Amino acid sequence: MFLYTITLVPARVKTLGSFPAPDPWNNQRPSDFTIEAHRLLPKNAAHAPRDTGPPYILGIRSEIDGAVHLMPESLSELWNTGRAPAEALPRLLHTIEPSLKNTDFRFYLHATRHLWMLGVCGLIALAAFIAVALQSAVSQPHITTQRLDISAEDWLKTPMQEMRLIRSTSGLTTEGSLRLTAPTRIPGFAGGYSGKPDALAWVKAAEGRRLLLISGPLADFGVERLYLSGLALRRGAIGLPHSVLQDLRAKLPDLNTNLILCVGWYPNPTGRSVRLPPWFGIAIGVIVLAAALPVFIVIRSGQTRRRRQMDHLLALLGAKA
Amino acid sequence: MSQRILSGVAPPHIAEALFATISYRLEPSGRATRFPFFMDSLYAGRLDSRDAPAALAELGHIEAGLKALPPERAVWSFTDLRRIGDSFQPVNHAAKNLYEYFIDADGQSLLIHVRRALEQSMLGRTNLTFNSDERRASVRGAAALLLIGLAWAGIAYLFFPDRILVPHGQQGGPLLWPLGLLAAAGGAFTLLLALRPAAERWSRRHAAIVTILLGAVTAALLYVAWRKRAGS
Repeated sequence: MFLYTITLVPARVKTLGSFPAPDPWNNQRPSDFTIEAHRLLPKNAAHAPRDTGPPYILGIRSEIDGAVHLMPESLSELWNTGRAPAEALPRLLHTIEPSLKNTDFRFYLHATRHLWMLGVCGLIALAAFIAVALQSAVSQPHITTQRLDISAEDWLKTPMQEMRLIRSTSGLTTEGSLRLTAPTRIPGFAGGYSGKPDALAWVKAAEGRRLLLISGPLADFGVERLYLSGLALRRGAIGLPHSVLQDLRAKLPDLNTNLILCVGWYPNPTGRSVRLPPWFGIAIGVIVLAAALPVFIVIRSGQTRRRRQMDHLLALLGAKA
Repeated sequence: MSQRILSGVAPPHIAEALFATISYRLEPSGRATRFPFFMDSLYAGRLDSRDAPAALAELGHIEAGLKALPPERAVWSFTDLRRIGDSFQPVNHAAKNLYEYFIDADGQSLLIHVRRALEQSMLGRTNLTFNSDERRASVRGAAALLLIGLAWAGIAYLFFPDRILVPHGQQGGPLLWPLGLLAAAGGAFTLLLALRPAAERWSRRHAAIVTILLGAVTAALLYVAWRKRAGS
C-alpha cells in the first residue's frame, strides 16, 4: 500500500500592518515589524500564493533579520480583538515562544460552530438511516429460502407465491415465447444478466395464463419444454419493457403480468439489497458519536489551552503596563 | 512569436528576487493585488502582447516604488523573507535604491530590460515569457502527470486491454487503460494553465464552468470506458 503524505507549510499571502518596536530576538534593537498573514498550503503549491481569504496564521517579521515568527492562535486572537496592541506582540511572542507546541497554531477557538454543524448533520444522517432501515424492514418482502419442490401440474393449479423459491419435479410445456432484445436487470438477483437477452414464455394455468421470464443462458437451450427453477417476482421489481408487456396483454387478455416467474433467477448473494434492522441505525449513530468524541475532546482541550494562554498573555501585558 | 525576458541578462535567483521584492514591498495586500499583469501574467510565465500597455503602466508605478526604497529592503525569495548577506551576489552594492540594486552584468537596472521588452512587445506584437520558479515547477508537475498518464494508458492497453476496475459486488466498471488517459488529460490541462497564464486567469474567474467541464469530460470518458464484468 502506498502512503503519500502532503506536507503543509505556512505561505505568506499578505501584510496586515506594520509598527515599530524593540526586537527581542536581536538584543532589543529598535526595528520595524510587519504582521504577515499566512495560509497553510502543500509545500509545492506554497511558492507565491494568491490571497484566497481567511483563516490566516499570523506571523511577525522584523526588518533587522527578516525572520518571520509565527504567532499562536491565542496571541493572534488577542491582536485581532484589540486586546493586545501590535507593539506588544514581539515581546509577548518572544516570552511564550519556547513553550509553544505545533498544535497551538491550529484553528480551534472558533471551531465550536463547526462542531455544532457536524452534530446536526450527523443527527440528520442518523434519522434518515433509521427511517430507511424501518421502511426497509416494513416494506421489503422476505425471500422464502426454503425451496418448494412441486410438480409442474400442481404448480399450475396452486396460486403463485411472491419471493418463494420453487423447483418443478416434472417438465412444463409452454404455449408460446418471445426473445427480448436486451438482457433484463433485476436488482438484487442474478441469473439472466450475462449479456444474453432473456426470453418470455407463457403457460396456461388454473386462473389464466402465467408469464415466465427465462434467463438468457437457459433460454439458449430452448423454452418449449422447461423445468421450472426460480422464484416469482412482482412486475415492478423487474425491468421489463412496458411495450412488450402491453403487446402480450393485447394478444393474451388473461395473461397475469403482475407476478412473473423468473426461471433461472436467484437472489444474488453479493448484490442483494440487505434489510437492515432498526438497531443497526442506532449502532451506526453510536459509532459516529464515538468517533466524533475524540475530535470534540481535542478541540475543547485546545480551546481551554488557548484561553489559558490568553490569560497568561494578558497578565504579561498588564504586568508590563 | 514570443520573447523571453531577463533570460541571460541576470541569474535566475536575481530575477526571482526582483519579482519577490516587487510583490512583497509594493503589494502589501498580496500578490497581483496592485500589479495584476506584472505579477499574475508575466511572473506566472507569459504576458500577451495586447496586455503590454497595461503592464507598462504598472511598470511606471513599480519603478517609482522601488526608487523610493533603500537597497536593504530587498527580499530574496517569495517563500523565505529572511535577510541574507549580498556580498557575493551580482547586485549593485553602491545602489541608492532598489531600482538601481538589481542590475545586469553591465550595471544596467533589470527594470530597463523589462521596460524595453514590454515596449518591443507592444510594437512588434510579440508575447513575453518569463521562466520563473513558479512556471518551472508548474510545467514540471504537469508534464510529469501527462507522461505518467500516457505511460499508464500505453502499458495497460498493451498488457491488460480488457481489464476493468470493478468494486466488490458490482456488475461492471471502467476499463483500466482509459483511466491513464484521464490522468494525461489532467496533465495536459494543467500544462495549458502553466504555459498560458491568461487561460489560468480565465479558469480561476470561471471556476464553476471549469469544474462542470472537467466533470463532464470525466463522466463521458467513464461512460465510454464502462464495461460489464465477464460472466455476469
